[in-house]
Amino acid sequence: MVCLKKIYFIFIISIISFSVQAQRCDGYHKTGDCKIYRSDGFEYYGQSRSALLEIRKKAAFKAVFYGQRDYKVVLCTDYGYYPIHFVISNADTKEVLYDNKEDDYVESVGFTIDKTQNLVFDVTILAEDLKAEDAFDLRICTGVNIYWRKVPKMGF
Amino acid sequence: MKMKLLFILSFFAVFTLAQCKSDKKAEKEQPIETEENQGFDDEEQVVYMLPSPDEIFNEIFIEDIELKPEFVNPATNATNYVDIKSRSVNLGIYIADFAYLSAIDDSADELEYLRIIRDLMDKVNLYGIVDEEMLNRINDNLMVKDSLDKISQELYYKMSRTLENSDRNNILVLISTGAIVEALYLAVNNIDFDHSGEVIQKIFDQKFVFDNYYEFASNYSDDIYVKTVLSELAAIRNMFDHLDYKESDIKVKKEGGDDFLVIQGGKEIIVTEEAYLGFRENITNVRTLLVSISKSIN
Repeated sequence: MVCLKKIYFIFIISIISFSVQAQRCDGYHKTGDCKIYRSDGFEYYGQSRSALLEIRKKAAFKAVFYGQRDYKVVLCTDYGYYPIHFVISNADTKEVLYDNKEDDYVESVGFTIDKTQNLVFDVTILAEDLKAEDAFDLRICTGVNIYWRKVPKMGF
Repeated sequence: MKMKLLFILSFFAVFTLAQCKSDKKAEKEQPIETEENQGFDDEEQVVYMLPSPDEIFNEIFIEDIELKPEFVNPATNATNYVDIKSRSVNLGIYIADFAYLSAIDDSADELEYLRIIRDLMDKVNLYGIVDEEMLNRINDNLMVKDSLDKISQELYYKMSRTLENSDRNNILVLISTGAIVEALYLAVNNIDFDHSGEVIQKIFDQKFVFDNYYEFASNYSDDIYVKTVLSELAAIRNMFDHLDYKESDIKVKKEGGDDFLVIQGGKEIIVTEEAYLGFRENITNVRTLLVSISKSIN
């Protein structure tokens, strides 16, 4: 009877932890450091998302960026896990368009794009000040928040 | 008591086997980490982000265009879909229809389509996404098209996240198939070639969305339903692969105190009437196949 209860308990815990692990980062990109406080006509782009990433391991996301649009992309993670390294490249040609290493790992970038293309963002949580043995968790929520607006018309 | 124990143990066995299957896949996908190879193999670790149907419509319908509700999949067809593939694909189709109807000022069919979406979601074991609160919000906002737009987007992304989190990407592929095909079908049947060139160009630009979707879907082509749906999309893929392009080098320059990039150049699809009519024909044929009464897969 006791054994049966133990099996049942472990089973329930396994199911809950599996589901919680997968969902713990949902909506993370809508919080804290990922927000922008001056909209300037930018609107939230639905392809923004969050993910659970392992520190110092590269992950990538690929999305369509429409032409004749301005974009702001903001990356965020938990305090103590910065900086975040990201590299933007064209998905077809693999040509690197931007590497935030050049700008001291700044967490956001704004760009305007004239022709629609698929871009790949390679993201690595560097967590430079974190020693592995001190880390509470080696996997951490990371958010990528994307804002967009139509390129404003110039002139009178 | 023995029966109970047997039940729990068999449940565990099934659960463990399922884990083994996904572990095996993960094992295959995760490269061996060496000192020279810190990080993931780019090809296998890419997360694909697909726009929702309302975002596709917002991108294409940049001008005031009279929308044609007669093109959506009739609500009466919903009961015809009896297997997982046709239910999932047509769930995506009805989600795109809902987004389209939400953009029509004098349409009042949104609530009916949302109920169909909820019903099909239940049938593919997706519960709680369209709840009473969402139905009430729709009811309250039937005349506020911007709010309906947001609700439609919220619905799509909530569903996508739920499927990803529960490791059911094969179902997500099927739903995305319906959503993308229907969005393109409604767009091309709304606009004639003699319309503004900018709008036509925007329709062709959805090729990049399709490419992204196709790559994502191909990762799950071991699934019989995904495999079938990919073969059904062959004509669209082939048509996109044979488009002509103007290509220029991509140039990046920094502007506005160095914190804003200007990305210029890249591929631009050459739009011709022949290509547009071919696009319309292929999309219409595939969409007709997807909404037709399902046939079982043997």
